[in-house]
Amino acid sequence: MRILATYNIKGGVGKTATAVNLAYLASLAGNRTLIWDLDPQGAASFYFRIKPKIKGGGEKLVRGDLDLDARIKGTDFEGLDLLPADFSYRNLDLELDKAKKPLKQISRILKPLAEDYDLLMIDCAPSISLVSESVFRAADALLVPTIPTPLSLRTLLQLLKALDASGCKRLGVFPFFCMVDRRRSLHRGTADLAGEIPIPFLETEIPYSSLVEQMGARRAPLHTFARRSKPALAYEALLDEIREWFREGRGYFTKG
Amino acid sequence: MSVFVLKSGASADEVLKGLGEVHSLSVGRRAWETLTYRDTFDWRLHRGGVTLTTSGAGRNTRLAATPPHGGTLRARAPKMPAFASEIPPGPLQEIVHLLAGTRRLLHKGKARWLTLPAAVLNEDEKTVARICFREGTALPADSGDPIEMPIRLEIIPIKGYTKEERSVRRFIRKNFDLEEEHRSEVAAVFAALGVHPGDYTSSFRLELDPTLSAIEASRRVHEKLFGSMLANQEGLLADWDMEFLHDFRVAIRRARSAASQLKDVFPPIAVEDLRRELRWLGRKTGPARDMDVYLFRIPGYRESLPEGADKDLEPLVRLLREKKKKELGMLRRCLRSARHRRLVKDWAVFIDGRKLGEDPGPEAHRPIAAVASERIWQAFEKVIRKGGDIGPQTPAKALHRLRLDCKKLRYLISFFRSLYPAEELDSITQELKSLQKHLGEFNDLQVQQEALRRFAEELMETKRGPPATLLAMGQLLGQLEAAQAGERAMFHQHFSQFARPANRKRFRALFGPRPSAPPDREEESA
Repeated sequence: MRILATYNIKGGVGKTATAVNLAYLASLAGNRTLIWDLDPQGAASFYFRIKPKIKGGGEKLVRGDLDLDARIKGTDFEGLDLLPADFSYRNLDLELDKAKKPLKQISRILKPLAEDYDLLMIDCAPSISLVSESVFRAADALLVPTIPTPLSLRTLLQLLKALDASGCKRLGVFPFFCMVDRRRSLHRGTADLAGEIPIPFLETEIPYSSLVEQMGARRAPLHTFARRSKPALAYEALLDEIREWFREGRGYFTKG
Repeated sequence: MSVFVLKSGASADEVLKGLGEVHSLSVGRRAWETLTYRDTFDWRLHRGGVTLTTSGAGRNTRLAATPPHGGTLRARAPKMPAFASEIPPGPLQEIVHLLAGTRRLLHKGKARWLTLPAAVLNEDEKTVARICFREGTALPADSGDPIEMPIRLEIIPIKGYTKEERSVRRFIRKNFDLEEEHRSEVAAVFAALGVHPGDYTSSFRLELDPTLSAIEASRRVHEKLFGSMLANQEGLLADWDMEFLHDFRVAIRRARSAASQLKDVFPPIAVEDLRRELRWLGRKTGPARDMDVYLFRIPGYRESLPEGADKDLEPLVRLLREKKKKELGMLRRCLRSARHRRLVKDWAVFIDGRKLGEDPGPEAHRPIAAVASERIWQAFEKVIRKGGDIGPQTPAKALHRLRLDCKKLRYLISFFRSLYPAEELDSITQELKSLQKHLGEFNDLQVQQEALRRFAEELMETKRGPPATLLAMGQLLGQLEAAQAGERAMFHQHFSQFARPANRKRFRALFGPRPSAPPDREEESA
């Protein structure tokens, strides 16, 4: 099972839309796919019309006291399941802190799912915390949606620094530009600044589009209502490029 | 998923109307599709638990496969794929290729379906269960009359919403006239069409009663092999894939072996005629099969050559393709000849059995268990004797003969495997297989070298082989020679493993002569 996590220290950068659309596309291509909505706000669960609630409580789930498989919900799409968010996820750091080896806890509880899915997409909450560090340990790569503004690029540098300091295992860090509006000079200029970030960006950019915002109103992945739209095609290209990076061992990986 | 069939009179609309009164439903559009169910001749996908369907045509060819772990894999292809290798890369191609290998994906059945899907929704309009009506008509291959099948109602649970699915199922069962359906959709189509999945396998399987007379048991062995030969003839003539000719040849070889190893069971003249004719047919099939095998080896040859030199083999490939075409043409003529027709007729009479009783062989009426054990034991002893005579300087021919003796032993074991305990038989068969594999490789390397030399001469004589091609073939010859020398050096190790006392003991326990009964005590005391 390949584990990807959409992550950014900053919120509102298109993390959840990326997780939802890429997971949907992966399942469409025949991969048994699971999304874990690890953000207490529960946006991914909302998009799939699934109640953001874990029976027994999110804390117990992360402690490994619950049968994970029994908490998974099928979405409306074949081959795509979701492990819902739970409001108690906001206290996960405290729970993890109580565990024996907190950084390995997420990997440990995900183990039984390895045979059931080809891809796990974790939609993380913004901010650096014990939870996100535990996700870094479990994941094969972080997909980092980045809005082309100087502030976003700064948070990407912060993330790289944090990863360096945490000494986590080999982990891919694949940033890409998201919500790009080429009409805005700030966006045009900052995209060029990417050259100053010491790691490569995926070439595909996700354009800013009100269609992506409509996902919230329609509560469905973008492709179900705007299959041929620009952002939909961009997500397809993004998934292809991620696959290519893995196949060819491209992109930046922490030393591990 | 639970599946029901609607009993006569009930319609999909009626069920939806009733269900819609208690559940919120989203009803989809009715859609027609014609599905062709595909599998290899020997049902490799079916055996692997996979159903493959194709629909559409030309550029709009669609494929769907259901793997054993559930779900459906889908793919599109620019034309109807004849082989797994022609399916565009992806999970569907991977699973089909894994099971079907190089065998052609044949049309096994066809059906037209009218599908009406519906989703049961909760208060958030989230799908919590699916239902699907499938109204099917099986379409016979010989353009016979379409066969209407009962409407299938599938209730598909959504993970994590079992309670909701249960409630839908309970409601439908309670309010409508249905019957539970345990067959899969493809099984229902095949049943309607009279197709029996798994009805052909290239391995020999025959259940025999140990008390059966040797002549009857041997007749059944021939009957099975005759069936196998005929089953492969159509695919061989059409050249669907190379396995048809292979299986056809194996059936002939096994039958020859059955005729000669059990010759004392059958009427002497009849069996002699059959052996002669089978030998003739076997020889006729050889050259075309050889070309298949050489062409199959080309990718391996290309890989073993240095980069850039792999293209130098093109003239050889062209030569082989021409020869294959020519040899297949000759074989087709042979299979349409009067002599072949006579062989088929005579063999059919032979296995019909009525004439077998006229002049039975001396062993005809002994129980098959005794005859089989004697023959297998003799064949085993021959392998041990001949293998033991082979030393480092013995010519390659002796190894070739030993390979044939091993084959005869293996065939005898396979004909009569139902008479012996399966577990023990499997373990000695493994031992024999491993010796056969080694001898096969040795012989193969020898044959390849001889063939490459022959082809090189032909390419030179006909001025079709540029120096680069001949050099590449020379390189291959060198590699084959070295590999063969390596195999030769390993012979003693392989043979000693097979002939070790523990293995002989196992063969003896299963097939060896039974010690004669001890004399009666009373007689002894008298």
